[in-house]
Amino acid sequence: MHMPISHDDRPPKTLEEYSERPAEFQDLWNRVTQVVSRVREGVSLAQASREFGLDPRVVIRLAGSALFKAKNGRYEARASDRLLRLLMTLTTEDRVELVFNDSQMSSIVGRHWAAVQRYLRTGDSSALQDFQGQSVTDASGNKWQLLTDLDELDRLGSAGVLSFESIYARIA
Amino acid sequence: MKKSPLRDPEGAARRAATAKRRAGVNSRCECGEQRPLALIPGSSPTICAKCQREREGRSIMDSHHPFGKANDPETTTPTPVNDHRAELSKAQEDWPKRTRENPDGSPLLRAAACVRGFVEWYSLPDVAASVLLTGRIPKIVDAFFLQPNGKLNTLKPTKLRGTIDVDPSRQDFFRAVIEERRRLSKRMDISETDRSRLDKALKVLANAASYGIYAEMHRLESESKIKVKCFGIDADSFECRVAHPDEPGEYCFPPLASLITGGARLMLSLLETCVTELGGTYAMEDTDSMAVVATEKGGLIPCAGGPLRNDDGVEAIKALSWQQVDDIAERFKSLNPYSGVAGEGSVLKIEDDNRDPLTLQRRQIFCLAISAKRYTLFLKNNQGKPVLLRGTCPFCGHRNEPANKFCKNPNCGRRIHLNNREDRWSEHGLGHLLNPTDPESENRDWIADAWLSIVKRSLGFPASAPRFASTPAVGRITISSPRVLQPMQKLNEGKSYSDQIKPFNFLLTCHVDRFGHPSGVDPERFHLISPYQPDSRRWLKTKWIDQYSGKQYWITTGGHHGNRHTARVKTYGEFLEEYEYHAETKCADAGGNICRRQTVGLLQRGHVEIEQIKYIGKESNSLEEVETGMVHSEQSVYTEYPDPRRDEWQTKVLPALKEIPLSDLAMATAMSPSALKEIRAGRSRPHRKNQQRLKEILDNRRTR
Repeated sequence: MHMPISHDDRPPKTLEEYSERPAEFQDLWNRVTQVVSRVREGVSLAQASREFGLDPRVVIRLAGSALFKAKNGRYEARASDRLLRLLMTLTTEDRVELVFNDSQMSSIVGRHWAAVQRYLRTGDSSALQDFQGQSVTDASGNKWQLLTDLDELDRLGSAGVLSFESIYARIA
Repeated sequence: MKKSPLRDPEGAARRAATAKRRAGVNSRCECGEQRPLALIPGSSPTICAKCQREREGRSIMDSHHPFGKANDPETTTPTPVNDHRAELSKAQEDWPKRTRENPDGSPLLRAAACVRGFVEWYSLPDVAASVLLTGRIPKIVDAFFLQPNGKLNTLKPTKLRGTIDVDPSRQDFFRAVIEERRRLSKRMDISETDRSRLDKALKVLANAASYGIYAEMHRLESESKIKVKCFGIDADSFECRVAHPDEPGEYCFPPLASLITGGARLMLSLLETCVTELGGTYAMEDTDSMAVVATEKGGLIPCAGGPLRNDDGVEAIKALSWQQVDDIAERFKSLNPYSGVAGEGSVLKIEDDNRDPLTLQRRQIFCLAISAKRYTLFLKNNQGKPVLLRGTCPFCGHRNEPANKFCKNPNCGRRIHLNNREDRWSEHGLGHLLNPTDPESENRDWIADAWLSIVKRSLGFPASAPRFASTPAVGRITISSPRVLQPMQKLNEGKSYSDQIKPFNFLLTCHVDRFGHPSGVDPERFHLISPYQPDSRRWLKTKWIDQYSGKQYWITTGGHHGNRHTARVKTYGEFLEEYEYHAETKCADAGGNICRRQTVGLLQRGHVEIEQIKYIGKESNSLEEVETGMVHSEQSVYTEYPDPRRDEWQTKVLPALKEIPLSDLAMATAMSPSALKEIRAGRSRPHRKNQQRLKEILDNRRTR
């Protein structure tokens, strides 16, 4: 699968611990936390691990605290967890990388992203309305207001996007 | 039509005063002509050049040299003598003397004269189309036409593809090509394969030779900037330095090319006028075709934004009857310039799609149009479910006769049911992606599946996501330049030549999602490629290489954004979702607002206001790269020729920035006040991205 892990690999608890690890581990950890989030959405551990190119055993080893074995023998995610997550977040101030250790906060950020991507792909901004004025609190206790301004989202989302039409036509 | 501003207004006034003095103050001819330059100096009673020639029994038409006699003594346009003297020759007096007289026969000055000769001219077909579509009559200041003069004595008879005789000294070459192409369908002396090849060859020949070569420009690929002189709409030329200047092709003559495209636009405008005169409308139109909204008997059909209301009070448009459409086609019969098979019937052909290929009965077809070049035609079955118009085997893509019950491809032979001679779904915008079900297969039927899902959803039927929805959307490119091969060199280290990645090998390319770029990279200079790997299961498990930096990154389809070492790439499902909601940015909705992704219903032309004039090259060599997602910056695609006099930064942005309090600017831009002071004083110019940011701040303040 993705990469073998050594016995020394433990879940990072702080940003410093995370930053000290090699790039491969950081990438692995990011995937592991995303697998846990997918399992919380109801996807099986095997399926979620496959989506992120991981061996389910690696996920259990690194994020076992966030999972439990149900009576039917399947792994399920606990209602919340304290795994460290480094998430890019679109705030009214800028696009910033924030550290969360509360799965509920990172879940809000995830849903905000889903609404943003839905808007940018289809133009449907209805899901973004739920986030107007909403803030999230990072691991340091700082509050950040989530971005819902459509023009600003269009601007940020168009970076590096080029199409035939955009060469010759721009929307006013 | 607006005239260009004078290059030398003082000189023009001086010349006008001299002409007035020579003709006599307040002089006029008895015909009413009073333009001093049209009057004969010293004549008594005063007479104009036209009346004098009439009296002498001479022609009242002059041969005007639109590019100046010194530049092109052969190209002339017949012009009434008075207009020639009073308007056209006068206008040329304003040209720089060297351009007008061109004593050394400089090709550059000749090109300048050509541009000056055509500045702000519109082709007559375009003027006619404008009158038809708007009902408004433009004011014509000057007019001229291009007249062929004689025949080249070097023309020789030839055989097209070795089979078709054409003698261009006796025949109209293009007419012969078109007529021969139409005759092909009845030729039994060549195989179907040869017929198909010849058909394509004649089509390309007709398109390229009748239009393409007259508009041919080559964008030079040199990376070093060179100084060029540009002739734009202002009277004076300007100089600038550009990296990829355009060079005209051997037969390049844009005025002639513009007449051909103008003629095509007029044909479409005629058709549009015929349809709208009957109260009808159309689902979409392309370069030479239109999908007219029509039903067997005609009548109202519901359509958001439609100007009419049906019995239920729902917005609607009027569908023409099939007979009305046939009548319109019949009106175009008189415009058919061809003879033989090509001369039979109208130049406006009712497509075969409208008839059942077996019974030839007329049938109702439907259209779903998303935006330019993205549409599909379909039928509805007994349950009202959509069925795409299909002429190829869904299993192997082989083109079959509609009567075939089994695919004629010897490697397939499966049972098929075809309902048309051609597939009628667009591949535009998707064609560069690999077949997600089998990356090695050339079968493009996954695009038909995608279209069917889109149509089903639009009609309110359930449509499940394709099974490849979560697979990374990946395309295949060929290593066609050292620039593409360079990032791969590291992978070649220590490998024998036979194992290395070499020129003309295939590579994989993927599409980074919005916000999917790894932290810290420039999205306009980031593109992931990978050695060719047909097994899609391996795509997420290997590192990909940034073509620009050579750095390696993981890719993922999970989450919503990239992180330090991983790029979030688009999946096929996401690609298709974006495709389905692609905005038609050239059009406006029923309320006149520019179309957005959620706009549906009847559209209208989007009106534009000219805010800024920028000169760009005609040609872009990178359109294929844009399609495959290899290029992410406009600057990489076309050449811009910056005119300092029309520079947006100097003429618009800087004055507006000075109106904004410095503290407000500093807060909005996060730039230091000292840097902003330097910028506002004109002592420094910010980076392109900061310029863009400042412009956006101004736009936001304006719209607030």
